Amino acid sequence: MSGYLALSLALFSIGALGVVLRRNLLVMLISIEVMLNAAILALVVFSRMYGSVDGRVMGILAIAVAAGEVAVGLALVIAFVRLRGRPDATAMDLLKW
Amino acid sequence: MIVLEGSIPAALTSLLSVVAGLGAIAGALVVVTAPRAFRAVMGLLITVVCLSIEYVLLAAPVIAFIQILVYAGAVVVLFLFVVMLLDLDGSRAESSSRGPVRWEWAIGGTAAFFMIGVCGIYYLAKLPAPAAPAVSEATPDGVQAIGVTLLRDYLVSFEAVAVFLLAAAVAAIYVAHAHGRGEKADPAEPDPAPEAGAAGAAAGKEAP
Amino acid sequence: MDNPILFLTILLPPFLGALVIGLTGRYLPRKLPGILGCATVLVSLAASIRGFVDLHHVEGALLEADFGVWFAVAPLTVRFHFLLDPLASFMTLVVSGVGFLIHVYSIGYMRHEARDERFFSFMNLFTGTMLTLVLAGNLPLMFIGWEGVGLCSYLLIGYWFTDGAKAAAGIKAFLVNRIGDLGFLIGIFLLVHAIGTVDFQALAQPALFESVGAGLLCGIGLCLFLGATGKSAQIPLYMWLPDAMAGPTPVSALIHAATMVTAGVYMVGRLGVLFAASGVLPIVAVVGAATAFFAATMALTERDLKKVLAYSTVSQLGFMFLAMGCGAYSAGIFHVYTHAFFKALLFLAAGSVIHALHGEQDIRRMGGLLRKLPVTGTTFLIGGLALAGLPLLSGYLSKDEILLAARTSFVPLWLLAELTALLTAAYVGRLVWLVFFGKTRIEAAAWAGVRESPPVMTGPLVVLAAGAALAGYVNLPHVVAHEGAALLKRFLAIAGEQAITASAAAEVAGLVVSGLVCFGGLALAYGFVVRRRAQLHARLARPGALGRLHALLLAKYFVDGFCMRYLAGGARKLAGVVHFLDELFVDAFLVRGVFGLLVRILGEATRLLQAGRVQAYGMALVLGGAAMLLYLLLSEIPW
Repeated sequence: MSGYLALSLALFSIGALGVVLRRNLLVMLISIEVMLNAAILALVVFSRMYGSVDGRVMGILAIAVAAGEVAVGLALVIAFVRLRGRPDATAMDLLKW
Repeated sequence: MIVLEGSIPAALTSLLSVVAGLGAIAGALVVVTAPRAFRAVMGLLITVVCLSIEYVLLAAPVIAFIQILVYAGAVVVLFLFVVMLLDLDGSRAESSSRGPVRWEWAIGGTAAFFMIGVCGIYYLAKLPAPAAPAVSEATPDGVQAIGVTLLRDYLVSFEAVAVFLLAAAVAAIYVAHAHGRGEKADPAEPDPAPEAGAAGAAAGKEAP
Repeated sequence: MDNPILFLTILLPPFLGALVIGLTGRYLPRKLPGILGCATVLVSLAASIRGFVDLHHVEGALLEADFGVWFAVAPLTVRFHFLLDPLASFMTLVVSGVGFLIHVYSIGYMRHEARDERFFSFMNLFTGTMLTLVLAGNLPLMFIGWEGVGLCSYLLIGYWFTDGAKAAAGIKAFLVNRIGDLGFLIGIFLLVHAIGTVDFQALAQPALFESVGAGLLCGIGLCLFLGATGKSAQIPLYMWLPDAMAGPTPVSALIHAATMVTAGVYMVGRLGVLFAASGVLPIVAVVGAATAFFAATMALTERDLKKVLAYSTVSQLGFMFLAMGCGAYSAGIFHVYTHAFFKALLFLAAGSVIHALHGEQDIRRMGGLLRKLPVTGTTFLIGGLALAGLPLLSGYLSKDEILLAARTSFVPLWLLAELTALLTAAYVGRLVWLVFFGKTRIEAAAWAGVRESPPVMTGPLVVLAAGAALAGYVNLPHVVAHEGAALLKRFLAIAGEQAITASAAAEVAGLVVSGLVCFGGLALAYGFVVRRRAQLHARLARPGALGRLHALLLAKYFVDGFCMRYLAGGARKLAGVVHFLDELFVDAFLVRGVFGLLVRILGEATRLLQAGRVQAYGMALVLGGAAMLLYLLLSEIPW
């Protein structure tokens, strides 16, 4: 079982790296999806480990939330690209002002 | 009801699980390193499919199906649509002069990666073994159990997610909608009705 | 006996009215704010009358209401405790009654203003805070009302705040009051320190003060009296009152008659036992007599109609404090009451005159107005004569009480008071003659346009005139009324009052002397102002002692000039020095020097962290999470 958890950990870390290192907003969003998948995997693994169905139910809910998140995230990317002309996170610099 | 354990040799199961795990990691690495958004989406697809295999091996086929349906079927396609819609890999790709990865941060990121890794492995090693043997073999993944739990214990969450999805849909449409442009374009278009009427009249004259 | 409903019906309507009128007035129909304002005060008045009646049936003549604890700092507990004893009841009647008449009059006076909801809102607030002051059951609660009337006077004196001079008058009133309020506050603190209670009922026990040191007690008395001088415009804090004429005339009437200035006198009466025990009463008496005299002399030469009345208020307040200082608390309160009638009447009538003359206030440009303004003129005359102390009018009776008290306690003060009474009659005579009699000095064109004020303004005048004439009969001297004498004094029964014993002959002598003094003053006025006006002016124009005296009085003893030059000027010089030091040391050395540099370096350093890029913050998040994990890990390893 801990092998699955290690897999979840690895996916989560790789996804976090992607969010932090990549400048393409879309790739950042995809990396977030990878992280979410890692979290769902952990939920399912724990559900299996402790013989409870709760983890799986939470996994289903998490997938549903992820779907909504993708929709809004992509809409934001589209709006941003329309505004700045490129999906570059470095162009997101208004916080400095 | 799919009961894999028992019907397939245990060695094969664990081999499959290792292969699928490596595939998932490879897909994730593709996501992070792919120079083009299209490849990143493909990497995500690989990860998603591999994970669904893992779910089946974890005796959670319902999650596996939902994973395929929602992620492979909806999310990845949505990403692909956006990649094509915005033409991200064509004229507006990440500026090549600076590369896809911010190398100046890569050191920090990698440090964080290893820190998380080390800590995670430590905790994994410490993890207490499950007292009881997992889910009962008879109902490795009771769909009924999931349904009952979802609609009884998690009813509020379930409803909240429903409302959230609706809100997200509305928000996505609103945010992605090109404000002002559509309205501006409409009045500029010439009203076709008079011309059509005139043409019809002309046709009527010509007809006899 | 507890009766919270009564207190709520007295106190709440004016506050509610102020709130409602102030917030929604601009959306109400044109005349509604004024009517609402009157209605709320009328409710208060009705409740006050009810309280007054109830008081006669209640054992111990005391109604109370307790609305819980305000704050508790051991050993002091201050409650929202209100009490209605005869003194408070009497004051609520005066405040709400006269206040109501002034509100009604204001409807007419303010009808040419484009918007009057602010005015009526403040007037209601003024009445409400004064009622709070009167009904308060302890000093901190009284202080709320005390500060409230100060605030309202500031708001109303500076009502026409677009006029710089008028706004400045409001600020002056506020600042001068502030000095007094500070004294009051320090007095309360000292009282808490010395005795540990601020409750009026507790403070009415003379035994309480026996264990307190004489010096401390004297200090408490002086501080509280300083507060009273601020609010009641006594020396040394009287300067604000004449300037307070900048506000609309009903405001002046309210300040001078019903609300603000009587607060000091009331407070002394309320704390009568404390003042008697503290030994500052002689100081109170001397200050009162001196104020009365100097203010009367200043009123003699004043040329502004309202300011003559203002100085006369200062002078009459001096009389009240003289009475208080002689321990004759009920005489002081009696004068507060009669004064409320005739001074409100005088101000409202003066307002009516000013209204008719479209803002003219200089009495040198009036005269003969009795023909044009019969009601205003007659009522003004009645009020003036009451002020002058014409026998049988209210002012005569109340002033006589004070003079009697002064004579039995300290004769020189009595002589000064009689002299002041003479001057009072003289300046009243001068004022009335110059405004209402003789040949008019108004230009013909303006003269033709002078009209009597509408009934909504003259109505209150008539009511007040009746009050000014007859109000004194609630407290007749012994020699006249025997059994029915001193009804008010017996009703009030103020704790700490000193009994005044005078033989019947002495009382009669006092009454006769007072009458003679009044007629003497009026005769003086007639002689100088009416008969020999030309000679007087000629004498004044020539250099000489009389001319110099006249100039001195015209300049009001140069007090304002002195204040501006030495107090304000000194403060300004001090401010200049401090400013220079501030520039040199704080600004140049510290701000732009040491710390400025430090802050700049720190800022430049932290600026780098705030890259403004989303991913930088994301990175910080991830690193932070990783660091926390690492910390947990390290803390678990047994090194």
